[in-house]
Amino acid sequence: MALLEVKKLTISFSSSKGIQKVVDNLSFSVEKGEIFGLVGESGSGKTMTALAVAGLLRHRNAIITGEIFIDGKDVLKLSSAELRKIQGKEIGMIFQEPMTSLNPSKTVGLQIEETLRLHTRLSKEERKARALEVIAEAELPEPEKIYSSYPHQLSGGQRQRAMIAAAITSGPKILLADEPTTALDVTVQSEILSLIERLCSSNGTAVLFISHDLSIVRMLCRRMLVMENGIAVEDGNSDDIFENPMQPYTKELIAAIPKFVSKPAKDSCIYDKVVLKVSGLDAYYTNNSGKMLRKKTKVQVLRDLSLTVHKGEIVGLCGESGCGKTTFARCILALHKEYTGSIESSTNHPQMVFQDAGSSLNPTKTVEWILEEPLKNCTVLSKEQRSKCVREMLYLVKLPEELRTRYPHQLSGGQRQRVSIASALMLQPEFLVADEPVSALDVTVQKQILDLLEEIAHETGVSILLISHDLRTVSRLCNYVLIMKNGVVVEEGKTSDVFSHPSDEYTKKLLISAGYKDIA
Amino acid sequence: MKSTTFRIGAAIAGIVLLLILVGCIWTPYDPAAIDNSMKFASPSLAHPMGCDQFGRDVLSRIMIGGRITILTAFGTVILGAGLGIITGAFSGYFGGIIDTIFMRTADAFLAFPSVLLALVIIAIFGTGELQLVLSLGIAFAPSFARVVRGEFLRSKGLCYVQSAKLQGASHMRILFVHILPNIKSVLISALLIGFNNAVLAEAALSYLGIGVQPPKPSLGGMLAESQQYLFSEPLLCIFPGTVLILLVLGFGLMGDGLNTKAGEV
Repeated sequence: MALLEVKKLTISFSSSKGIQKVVDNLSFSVEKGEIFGLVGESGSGKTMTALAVAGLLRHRNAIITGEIFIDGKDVLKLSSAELRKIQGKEIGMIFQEPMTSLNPSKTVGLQIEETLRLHTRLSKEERKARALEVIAEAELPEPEKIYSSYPHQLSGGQRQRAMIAAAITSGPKILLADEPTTALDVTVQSEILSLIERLCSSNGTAVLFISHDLSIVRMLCRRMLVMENGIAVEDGNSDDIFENPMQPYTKELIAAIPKFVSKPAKDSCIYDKVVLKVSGLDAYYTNNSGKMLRKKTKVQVLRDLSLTVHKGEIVGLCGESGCGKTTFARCILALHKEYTGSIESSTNHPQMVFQDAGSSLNPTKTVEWILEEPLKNCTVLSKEQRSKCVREMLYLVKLPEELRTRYPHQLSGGQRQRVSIASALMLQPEFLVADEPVSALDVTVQKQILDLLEEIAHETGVSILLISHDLRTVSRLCNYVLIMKNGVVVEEGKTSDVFSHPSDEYTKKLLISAGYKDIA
Repeated sequence: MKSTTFRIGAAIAGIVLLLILVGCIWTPYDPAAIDNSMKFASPSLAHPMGCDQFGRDVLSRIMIGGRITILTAFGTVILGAGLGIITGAFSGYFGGIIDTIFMRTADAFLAFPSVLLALVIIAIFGTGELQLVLSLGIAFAPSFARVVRGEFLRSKGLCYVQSAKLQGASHMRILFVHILPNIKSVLISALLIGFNNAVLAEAALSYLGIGVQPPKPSLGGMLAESQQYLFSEPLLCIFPGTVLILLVLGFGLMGDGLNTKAGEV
């Protein structure tokens, strides 16, 4: 019998708007030692399913019907006390964001020991020994040191390893991994995935792996299930689904997976005119703790950066988190002023498209107000002229005109990002910085937004500096690419050249982690 | 959609406000008219809340006194919040030396109890409603500034503020057109709490004899006067006290209701 068996699971929430089903009639099973993939876009009910399996939906006024068997016991029929005995001991859970799922005021060691404290009668020394053992098992360096450090002293990848260590301490039969690598850099991501894979095969743990990223699921899982709006669309062998998707939704998802495109750089729409020239840029941050008399320390984050962008060109800037990509963008946009070196820009108002359109649009203003605002500040157009510009811009970013009177929270993620792009284009800048414009979006929407950016660059001749951690995105859009590491550009050149003949070790590592295969 | 707490609060405050509004155009008796035959009269149909030690009608005095109390409280909140919003917004948004100056000044003000501070100001400028509003307003400003500063500090790092900056909005426009509407919910509850404190502070100052001066009635002044007869004529302080409590309770519940609502979103 399967270790985890979910039968006809239906989860609904009752609210003032009536009963809303988030998971509908879902059935699947996970065998011992298997990694089972649960795939879907945001809002498809994947996380709710995991929470129901872990018994964490009890007090959230959710109506759950169906059966969830863990090793033959129906979780839904257990009393709270019986459930607590299973939680942590037989079910372990790894969340997306390790910073918020670890308690910031307790040492990592104590948190790893927590399940032992609750479920076993081990002595203090035995608990510590076991904790050190799992820390080593999670491949963290210097277990003793990790044991006594606090979450904020660890890097993102280390935190996620600590989280995994905490989840496997008491040898759970089932591990629920909810987007465990989404918040991590690609190189760290592949390490964490292989860790999960190894733990699963050596301990025989059943893993329910939840992800929006189909390519990861294909690498990791033999079987998978695709969800859309709470309904199972398709399930079965991962390779079969990838090669032969039966349902239109699955086909759409697979088509939307960002792929490496080795296209010839489109030189036709690139002009000789230089819109941005950066040379010898060094940027610093002053570590100001707010104390008046404390001595200020300067930290250098960028070292000798140079870049030239021509009109109509899309330049990619790649690197992992903390490498200085965003600081570079902020220097160009004059939002960060502690730098030396020269930045010459041909446009007075270089604009920016932010990662999270939810926070880059003022929540209390309507779309029309947001789009008119730059015109009010920088031009002398009349009200009629402004609203004409707004209508034209909405047409350019392919949004219906009715959205003018909506507020940002009434729009979908993709629509918000379109409004964000539109507002950046209102002043007709020659140059635009897009900082991870699609990484907060679902894959199908990502594809649409990237298409839009490409089209706009083509139509309006605006140059774009595309900042992304995702090499696939960059390969699709950019003619020229820079790879950054720790504030230094390690490699740059035409996208196709850099990707097919990487000369730097770091670039190679990035490309391999991202699944790029055609390295010469 | 307002929460139940907010509705209950609004209903309670509404009743008191209605009483006071009626008092603006009509009172059963002249609140200052002395009738020696009615000294300490018990509540009756003619005098629903009885009469005080001079035979003045208590209901009429509450209707007029409540108005003075509320007006001074409004004045205090408007002055205090105005000062607080401006200083708080500048401190939080610009930071640095401006922040240090404003906030250390605010700390200095907060170190005194607000009533004591008002006392000092009244001692300098003399008694009267205007002085009362001025002194309480200044005393209340730092607590508003604190709240507003925190919100601006949080907001200034958000992407929409950065993008407004890139789009050429001036500092003033960013401060008051872009950010201010976004801290509405926090501000409204701070205003309601501030209003309550102002009502109580006015009552406290009048009780001490340095607020609204007799023969003008105010809720605090009425409490102070009735104190000498607390045991023989307890009703004299129960009626104005109840009105005061209802007023504060009503606005307090409204603030709570708005807070929970803001928390849910």
